[in-house]
Amino acid sequence: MGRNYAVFLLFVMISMGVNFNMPKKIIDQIQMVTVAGHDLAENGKVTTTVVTPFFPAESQQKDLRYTGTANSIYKNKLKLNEQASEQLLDAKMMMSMYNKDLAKKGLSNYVRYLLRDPSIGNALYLAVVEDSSEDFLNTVKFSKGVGKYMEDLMRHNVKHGPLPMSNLKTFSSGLISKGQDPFLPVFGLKKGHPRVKALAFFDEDKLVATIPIEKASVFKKLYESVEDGQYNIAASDFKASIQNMDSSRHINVVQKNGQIEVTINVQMDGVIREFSKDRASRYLTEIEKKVQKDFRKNAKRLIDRFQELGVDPLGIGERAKEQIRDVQQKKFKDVYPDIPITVKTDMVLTEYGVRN
Amino acid sequence: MIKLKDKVSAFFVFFLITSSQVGVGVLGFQRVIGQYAGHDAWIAVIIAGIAISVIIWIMYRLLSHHDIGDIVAIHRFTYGKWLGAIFTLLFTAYLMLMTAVVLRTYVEVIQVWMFPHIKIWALLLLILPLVYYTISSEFRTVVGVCFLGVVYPSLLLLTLFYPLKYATLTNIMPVMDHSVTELMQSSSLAVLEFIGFSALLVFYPYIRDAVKSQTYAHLGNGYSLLIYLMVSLVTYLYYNQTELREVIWPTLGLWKIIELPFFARFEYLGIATLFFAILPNLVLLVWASARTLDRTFNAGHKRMAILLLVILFVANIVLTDRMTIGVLNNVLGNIGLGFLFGYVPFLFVLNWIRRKGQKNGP
Repeated sequence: MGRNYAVFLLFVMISMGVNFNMPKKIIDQIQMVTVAGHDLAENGKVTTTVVTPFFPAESQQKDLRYTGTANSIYKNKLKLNEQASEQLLDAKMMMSMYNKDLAKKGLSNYVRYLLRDPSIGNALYLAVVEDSSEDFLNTVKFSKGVGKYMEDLMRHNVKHGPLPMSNLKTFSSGLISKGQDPFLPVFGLKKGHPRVKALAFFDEDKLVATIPIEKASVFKKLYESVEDGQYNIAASDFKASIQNMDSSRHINVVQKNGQIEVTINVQMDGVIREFSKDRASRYLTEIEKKVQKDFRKNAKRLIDRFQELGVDPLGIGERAKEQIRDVQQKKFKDVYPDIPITVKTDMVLTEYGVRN
Repeated sequence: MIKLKDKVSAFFVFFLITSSQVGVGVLGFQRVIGQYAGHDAWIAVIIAGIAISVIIWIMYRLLSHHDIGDIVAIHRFTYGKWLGAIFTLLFTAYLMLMTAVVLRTYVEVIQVWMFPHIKIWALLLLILPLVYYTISSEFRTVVGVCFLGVVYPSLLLLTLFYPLKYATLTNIMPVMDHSVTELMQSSSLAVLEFIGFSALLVFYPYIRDAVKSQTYAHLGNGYSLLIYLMVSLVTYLYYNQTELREVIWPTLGLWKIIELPFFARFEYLGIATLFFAILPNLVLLVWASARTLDRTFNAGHKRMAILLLVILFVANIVLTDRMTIGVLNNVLGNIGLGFLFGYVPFLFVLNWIRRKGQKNGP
């Protein structure tokens, strides 16, 4: 047995010794990219800007920025590494940005490289930037770092605000799937400060339309079930704000005499928090009715626009596949612009705060 | 004869069966079995599991009629000494091919996901002595590894809840959208995930009250079925079918969505924990191969074990790229299918005829 152990020990030592020379990644000998921004440059090239934190003293953080232009992502990496003092690595990336021009040309290549890399998680946020992501990343400066700031900004707007859930997972699903098209939030600058500006819709991987962020909460309620939403209405005789809004939506697809019909049912309930008149309790039914009417009007407008453009961010194609057997998704795409889509709503205002 | 103290109680058959079935396949079977039945392939998993249960039943009928009821004895009885030895050799080759594929696939995962620069031969120098250490003494050690191989990785099942946040029911609807033929084709591919239990034909004599252990064998198979079913259902809910076609290891892909504040990439923990599921596959199969060789040629269990491990070492170095590994997986799947559903019933019938003949003969 003793001889066996000696052989084992020898093997272990050889193994350790040989693999000891493997390239290592030691935390203070690398630079972790937190945000990467991609802009369309001339001749089909892409300018990439990356932000990476460094720590001048304990509990202090500053961002370093590198920019380079090349015709592929990994070629660009070489260029960026030529400037960086340590090796740049993507594993800690929190957000990947693309400017509008690039998004209009198609994002497929700039998203798929993220999917191929085992070190990048699928919960990574993606976003479109209005003008140039290079300017955006160079302007925005915060003590917690741009990456963390943008991630937090996005996260709470998804959880409690008007943004529907979107990340690398949902975007790539929409990109690859045949029955659904993806969307992304659009960020912009106002007086040097970042903000959510709009929602961008894609036909496969090309940006084709945006809606202002005020309309996004309607889209969100049509797209998914919302847990903490809100709805603001300015009717002719009053203004009201409904908060703590829960909604659930169901899409029904039926086929009658060869004609496909779609109904989207949205059920909402919420609490009044702001009302421009006295005694909200007296106007409950009126508010409910007006909110629903307003919602349906906005929803109709949105859906008409989607149908005009032939994009399907609501995933009606997927629903059709689910609910009608042998629907061919290719054929569905052709008939999609002419399908009658009705939005039905149901709303209950459960509370009106601590004053009636 | 095997001494009573070397035998294990019938209860452990549960762990032996499950740990030999659940291994490297669980990382990437979803795309493979979905080739024909698409989003209905989870039904194919159920069909495959039930079919395997039938084969387990046949194996027990086959094994319970012999004193030292293992495949060597059965082959010798059915075919005679020489022909029997040849068939046993083929069986051993099949087990070894399975071992090589399991080990190489796992090493590939380590290479792709964790250490792209790792020297495979040096990594094997760490794994193979561990296998030798386990199989060189008693069978009970092997059983112990199998026991842990079921217990530790079972914690990973909890991680399946995480991706459900992104589950879309439309991805698996409508249920039964594929024809029976397509389901059967997918089931035949799903069988590959279960074939590891062929070692039952070798370790059977090591079980106390072996005849009674059949219930545990079916339970073990049922537990594997449950694991595969859960994993495939979550995968089909999470991935769209067009999306799934691009993913090589869907199970690892599911872990990519997990984000813990102190732990960015869960795959590292997952792949490391999965080693406990891979090790039983290796030790059980190499142990079974060494034992069949030892029983056939009387060459000594340990010496055979070393020989087999050297072969395994060389085979793993020769296989270098993804394409070859994929092809080998397919070949193994076909052989496994043929072995379980063609050869085992055939052997059963032939054995039955021989036994009848001997009883009525001179």
